[in-house]
Amino acid sequence: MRILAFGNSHVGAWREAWEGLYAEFPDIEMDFFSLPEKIHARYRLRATGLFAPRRNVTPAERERVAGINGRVECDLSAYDHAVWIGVAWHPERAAELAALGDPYPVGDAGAGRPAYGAGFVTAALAQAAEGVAEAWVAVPALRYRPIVFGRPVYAETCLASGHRLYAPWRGAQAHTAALQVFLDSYRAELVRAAAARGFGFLAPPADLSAPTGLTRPACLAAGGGAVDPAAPDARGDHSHMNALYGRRCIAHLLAEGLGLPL
Amino acid sequence: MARSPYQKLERRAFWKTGVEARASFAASGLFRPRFAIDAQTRVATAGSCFAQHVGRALRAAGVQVIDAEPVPDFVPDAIARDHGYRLFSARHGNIYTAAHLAQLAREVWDGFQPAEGVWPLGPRFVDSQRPSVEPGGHASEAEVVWHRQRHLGCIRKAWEAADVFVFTFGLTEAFLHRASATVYPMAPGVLGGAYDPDRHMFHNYTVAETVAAFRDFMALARAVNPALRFLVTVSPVPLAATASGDHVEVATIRSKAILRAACDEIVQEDEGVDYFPSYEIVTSQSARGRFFADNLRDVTEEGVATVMATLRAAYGLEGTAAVDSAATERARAREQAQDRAEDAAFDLRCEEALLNRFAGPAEAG
Repeated sequence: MRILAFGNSHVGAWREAWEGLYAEFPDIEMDFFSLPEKIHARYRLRATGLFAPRRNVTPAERERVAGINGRVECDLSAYDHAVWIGVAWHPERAAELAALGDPYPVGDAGAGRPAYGAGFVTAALAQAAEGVAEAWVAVPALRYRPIVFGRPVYAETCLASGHRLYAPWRGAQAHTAALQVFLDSYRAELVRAAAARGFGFLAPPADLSAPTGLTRPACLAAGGGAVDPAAPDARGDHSHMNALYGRRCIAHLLAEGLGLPL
Repeated sequence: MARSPYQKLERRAFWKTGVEARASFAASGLFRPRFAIDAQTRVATAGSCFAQHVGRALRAAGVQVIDAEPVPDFVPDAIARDHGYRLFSARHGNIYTAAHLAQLAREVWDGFQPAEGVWPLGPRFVDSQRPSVEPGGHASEAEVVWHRQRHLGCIRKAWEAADVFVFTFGLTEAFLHRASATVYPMAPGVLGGAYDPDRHMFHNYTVAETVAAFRDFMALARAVNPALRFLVTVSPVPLAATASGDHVEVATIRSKAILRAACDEIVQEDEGVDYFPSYEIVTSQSARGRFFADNLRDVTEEGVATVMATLRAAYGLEGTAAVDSAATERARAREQAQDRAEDAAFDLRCEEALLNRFAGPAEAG
């Protein structure tokens, strides 16, 4: 079985994990194709299955891509399965809801904190999922359903940063029970939105999450997540994960995405 | 000339100069506020559909309009409003009658419990006191009750934090629970529940009842928020339907006359209450009917814009000069009417209009 793992810089954790895993899966050949996000954003998955640069990818950038991957494009139709790694799915939407209100029956009555009905939550998150999934254009040429694998949720270390990027997560920390409910609902809406476009969707596996809803710090790549005491609001890198994370994601893909017995 | 009490009156006291020769509503002295509303004022809004405009206009002018049940910015307006959010300071839906407002205050602060608090909606359930806010209903009665408790906490927070409470009177007609006199915002059977003449009754409030109900509300609110002031208005939107037995046009005039008279009585006897003439602006002869849409009921965007420009000008909000000419006022309103984004902004949630579905096909009456 040939699997293509393509996407942005988050492919790195998968590639690193596969180095230590491939011997356990002699029937699986996994190829990788990764791009820096700034270039990835200007690649397009065509109806033929070709993942190729748009015209606004410069020759220098193409050369850089070739340097990383030995090629500038990849063809999903040449594989039995493909997984698109590191795709934005905005789990912050769930955190933004949790920061403001609770789903039934989470939280104390009478505290003056809003509650959101299931109908509203479903409608709001379905709309958010549609907004995310509209970039996933169907690939009719493929005999299989490519899988979109969401980018890592930030590592818990991000809570030490005051950067505005992490504000939704900071806001949700007092309401993690609500956060889990909204995250589950949002994942379900993304699965639905992806299926309507001929894709599968997998969020990072739940067991990689800390109770805060964020990724466990042990998954963070070395060097990431360090907060400079002189710059407490610096963004830092709380996003790129290590081989431990990649290994669990690959297992998740094989079991949940491809239905393979592990 | 002999002395007359009319001799030294302002131009606005005479029809000829106050209406016939009026340059604009905003500049005509139609409304002179009793108290200030500025960027530091915390305003809570409630009332009929038209009240939604007031909150939006004040917020756009930089006033702190309280939203005690907010939703995140990523949620589109259509979804938020379909579910009762971003309409008023709390998610109580439209409050058409003073009696319903007073009852809600008793529920918030005085332990009142509505009869038939939960209505079935097919296999699901809705809150009979705000049946429009969860269009698909809840899965269980317990869920409705839980949501209501949370909602009451949010109302309490909003109303206790407000400096000014803006209320738009909408209707005098309501359906009540016969045994307990519980008021419902909509007749049973429209958005849940089922009408049963043995259990439910129609009531058309009088001036005295409306005044008494609003005073009850003010007393309860001031007991916890003594500095609270009130700005009241009457919705210019005619009734969608009447259960009174009268022609709907006759019923509309009765209803609006009662509400207008009730406002006058309330304002005359309480310095902490002010009346803003949105009804008068929209129905003014000088508008020549142009503030009503083709169905002769909905207020046009130009009408809404004119009302809100007058409100903002009176409070000196958003730098709105009271010297706007009528032409400028109309041009601005026309621009807004052409703006599709504004179309969405004026998209009210008005469940009373749902009564039209009981009307049958349009034909000569």
